[in-house]
Amino acid sequence: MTIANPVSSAAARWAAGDAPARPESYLQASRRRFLHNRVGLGALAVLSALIAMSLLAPLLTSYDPAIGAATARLRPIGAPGHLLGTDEQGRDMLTRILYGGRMSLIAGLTPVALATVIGTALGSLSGFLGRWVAAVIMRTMDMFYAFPAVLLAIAISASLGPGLVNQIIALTIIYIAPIARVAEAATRRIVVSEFIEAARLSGASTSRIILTQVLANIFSPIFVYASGLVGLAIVTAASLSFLGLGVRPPTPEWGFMLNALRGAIYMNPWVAALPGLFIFLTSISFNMLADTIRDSLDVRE
Amino acid sequence: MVTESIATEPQPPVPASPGRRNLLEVVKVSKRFPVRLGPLKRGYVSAVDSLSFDVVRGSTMGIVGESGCGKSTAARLIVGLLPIDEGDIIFDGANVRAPRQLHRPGPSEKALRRNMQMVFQDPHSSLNPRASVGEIISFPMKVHGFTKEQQRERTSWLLEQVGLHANHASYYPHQMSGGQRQRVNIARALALSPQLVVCDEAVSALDKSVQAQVLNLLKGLQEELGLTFIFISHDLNVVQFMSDSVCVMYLGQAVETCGADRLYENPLHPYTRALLASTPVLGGVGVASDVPPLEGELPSPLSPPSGCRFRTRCPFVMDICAEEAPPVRQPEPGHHVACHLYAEDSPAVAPRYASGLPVIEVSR
Repeated sequence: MTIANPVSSAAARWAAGDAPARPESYLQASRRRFLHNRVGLGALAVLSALIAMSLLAPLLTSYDPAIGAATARLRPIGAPGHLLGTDEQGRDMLTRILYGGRMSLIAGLTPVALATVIGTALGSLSGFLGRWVAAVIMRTMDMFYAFPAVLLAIAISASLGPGLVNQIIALTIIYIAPIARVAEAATRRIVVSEFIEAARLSGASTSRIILTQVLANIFSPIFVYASGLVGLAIVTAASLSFLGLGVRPPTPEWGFMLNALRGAIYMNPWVAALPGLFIFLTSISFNMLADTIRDSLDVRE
Repeated sequence: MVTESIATEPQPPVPASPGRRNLLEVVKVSKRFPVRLGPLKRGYVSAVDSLSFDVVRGSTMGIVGESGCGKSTAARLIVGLLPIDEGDIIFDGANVRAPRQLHRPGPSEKALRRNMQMVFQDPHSSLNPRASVGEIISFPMKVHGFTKEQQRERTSWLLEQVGLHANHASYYPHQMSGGQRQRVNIARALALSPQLVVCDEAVSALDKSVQAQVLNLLKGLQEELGLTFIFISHDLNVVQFMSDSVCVMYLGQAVETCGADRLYENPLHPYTRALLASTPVLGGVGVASDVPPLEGELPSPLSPPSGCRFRTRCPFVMDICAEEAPPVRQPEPGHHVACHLYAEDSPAVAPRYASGLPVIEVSR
């Protein structure tokens, strides 16, 4: 084997005018991939519409969501003056769906977002450090896991007292454990890679390695898992409200409305199913949007 | 190119002392890993046992051996990715034995460690798939407080040094070939201008033609930047091409250490002979083709054979091999071998390894 001077030959090779083209930047590529995904765009449109509707509720309807007319109870969909009918207390369903979106979206998004931040921090830390740190954190998580989620939420809410903030705290606590588990498993898979060893060799601290090398690589599974929890959180929040531990009636909230209309399912099934339809729509849109975002951010796509 | 290299090369933080001949001295380094054998039973795998060798400044030390013989563990012990159980590592005259894990390095340790870097084996898992090549190469510089401008300039310079183009900085690892990724791997190892670069099976995952390119690149860089290499491979031909001296490892122990030429001309240890005999040689006969090829599997490192660890597969096995671990002898100057076949040091040898060790009388 002869030793050619690799440096000069390489320089000559690239100097010939065929320098490698710069690929499009990360953000450009991600945006292009996102805009080419119709499912994702559709989900984004549905979610934007839901959020806009609940924010603009006072402009879209003239009814008061809390006041009904005893003479106009359980009107069917399309009844004059009530596009989506009325509920068991004669309140306009459209109005209550619009206003209820506010509470439901807050109750669904906030706990999942908070739990994702906390759970990812705990999971990645224990996955990275292992040993006793992992033992302490993950066994504590297992304790939370041992209770059925709803039961735990009820217990926490009951001890904190009713109200939206306490409801959010309770839901946050129950979703930390599953997210931490996903984060830990993903971190453990990443942490044995040679690029983590390389980062250690460069003298970077643990927190720096987790922030710069680990998080970007465990983002996908956590993000997709967490987005699936949004719908679940809305329903669980509804259960709490139903038990008087969440939002108090007559404040409209989809989950509570679903429960309240249960009795009317034989008389007026379509109206009774409406809040459930909106919960489903929100949940599935979040899932699809999350899938699309993950795919478009994935450099390997 | 040379003037440019001076312009962008930052000063090394630890002043080199060119007077010292050995950049690295590995002294009786051992590493054991605990393993669970049962619900309550614990055992130890002796991954590296009493490994010693010196690396001369600006030279290349090759380490060869079968897979599972502790080569990669040795590499990680040297650079400090794993804590050492016993022994010392003297780098540039300073003992850098790392009792602590690398993820909490002190400031002086951090400064020292940047002088030892590593080129990793797997071109896929050694680069962060979510980071661009530019981010990968500049990360060590960022950690050590280089300015943005310095990082950008030095990244372009490094990319050119390893035969890539500055534009490659905006590529992602998955957009590059295995050979290109390994060049990025090398560029990252050189980012902090280290003195010692440990290449752990750096070309094993590459095609033969790409291997040759990367080996030539490493040699060129060594010449240009005055690097010292530890080159780990299971491929004897690759090690012969790269190395000035070679250390042959078997089951965590060094069985033979000497200059590369002597090793291939006059292998002394039965294991080395068997290894050389099993190497395919193109258009000729192997150096030690009369030696029968190795039979059997590598014994379990959980319970290594008593005495000489190679005795279970050695064609020249004697009674003493099961009783005593063979001391390191120098049958010729600079040629260290741990085998009972060689009971005497050459008279010309300065007593370094021989001193303090019991002389065992063996009837051959």
